[in-house]
Amino acid sequence: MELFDLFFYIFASVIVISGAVTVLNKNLIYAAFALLILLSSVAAMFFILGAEFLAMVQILIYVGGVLILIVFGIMLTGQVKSVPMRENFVYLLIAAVFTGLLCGLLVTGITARPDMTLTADIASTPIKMLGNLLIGKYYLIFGMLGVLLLVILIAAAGMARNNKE
Amino acid sequence: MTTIFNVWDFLLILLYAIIPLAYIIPFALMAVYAERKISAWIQNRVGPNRTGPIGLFQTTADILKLMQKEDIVANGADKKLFLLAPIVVFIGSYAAYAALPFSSVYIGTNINLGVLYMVAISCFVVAGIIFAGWASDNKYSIMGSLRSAAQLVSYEIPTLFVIISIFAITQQFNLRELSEMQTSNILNWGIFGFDGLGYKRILLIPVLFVLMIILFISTLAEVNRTPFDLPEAESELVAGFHTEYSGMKFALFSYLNMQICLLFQGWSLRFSLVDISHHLVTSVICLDCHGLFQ
Repeated sequence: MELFDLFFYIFASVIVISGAVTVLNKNLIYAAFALLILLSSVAAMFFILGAEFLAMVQILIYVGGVLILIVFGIMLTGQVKSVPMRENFVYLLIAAVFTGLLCGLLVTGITARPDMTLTADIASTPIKMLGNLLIGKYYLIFGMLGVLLLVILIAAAGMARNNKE
Repeated sequence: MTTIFNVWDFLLILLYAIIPLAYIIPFALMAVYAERKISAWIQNRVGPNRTGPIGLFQTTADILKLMQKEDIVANGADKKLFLLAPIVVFIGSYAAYAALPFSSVYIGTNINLGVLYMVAISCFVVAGIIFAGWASDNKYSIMGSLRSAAQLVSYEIPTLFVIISIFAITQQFNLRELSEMQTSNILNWGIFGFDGLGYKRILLIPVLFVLMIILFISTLAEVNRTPFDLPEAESELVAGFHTEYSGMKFALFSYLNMQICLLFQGWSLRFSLVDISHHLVTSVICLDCHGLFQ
């Protein structure tokens, strides 16, 4: 067992456990804390797989942006400590069925194309190549995403403005 | 898969990770002393002068006192989060050292995106502060933590803009390469335009000077120091998010917050301590510039 494997399994188990805590805990703040651990372990996973840029963006956007936003949202909600959850057997069954379907889909999707899975031994991302790809080959997608973000930004500014009636 | 998991590798990594502490602790002690003494001079006071010669051991004594203090957890506080939040803050500020080149020899990990990593990992500080404020179950704490988080998040934007412009000028993300670009000659520093741009860098000097000022202001805001001490406003909020903390946990907050400030502002001094031949002059003149400008 290599050091890589050790860290991989540690982070994988942390991801699974903290994900479960995020979903199952009734205290919203605990759920947010578990989400923090979850997101940072995903970033750590990217790190040990050699995708540094992705890891950094993961931390910067999810931990620095989304999680903070969620916590601010939690601070504005009334009921934080015990959120009523649907614990009926029927709901659990539905959730289990859909989770199983999704899991099966992912597993078959990944194992069906073994040529698509890469070995873990990737050199660190050459950031210049990434930039060239974004501006060159994937320019259309990049530009469309930029326009989408701009639209969202304008919409958010419009919604945040006070309506003078 | 051929090699077997080696315990020594693991221990070596741990040892490697502890090295910055050996630098941080004495540096933080002296930096806090310097801050107290200089602000005392500015305000026409004497400052610490009892402990040791000219009060040099005052901060050491303070840390010893903090270590002996009882670790109080308030009755209404959320005990688990109250314990975990300082750890998250500590992770956020200590993990940033992994990408910091202490000298031309020692750097935790020489990743290509060093600066971006340091900015990203500092996000943990914001999360930790909010959790600390909530877990304290105290309205001053929660207000202080929300203010602090809002300030940290908003001043990250100018910092990132400055970093982006530095990237655009140097086309270099690697912190070690970036600092090597600035060695050997005073005119190679970031503020005077970087090495390898020729005479064209004269045009860059005014721009870079403005960038330095922006960066200085935004780093001041990020560490809640005096002009931006809104989150810890003593007259309205008792002490901000660390009102309820005592003992070592308080020490974790305050001294590491302080340390981020020094991390960003004084890594040239750090260089000079470790690698005197390269960086002595740099540290004396440019103490308060951001790391990017050395």
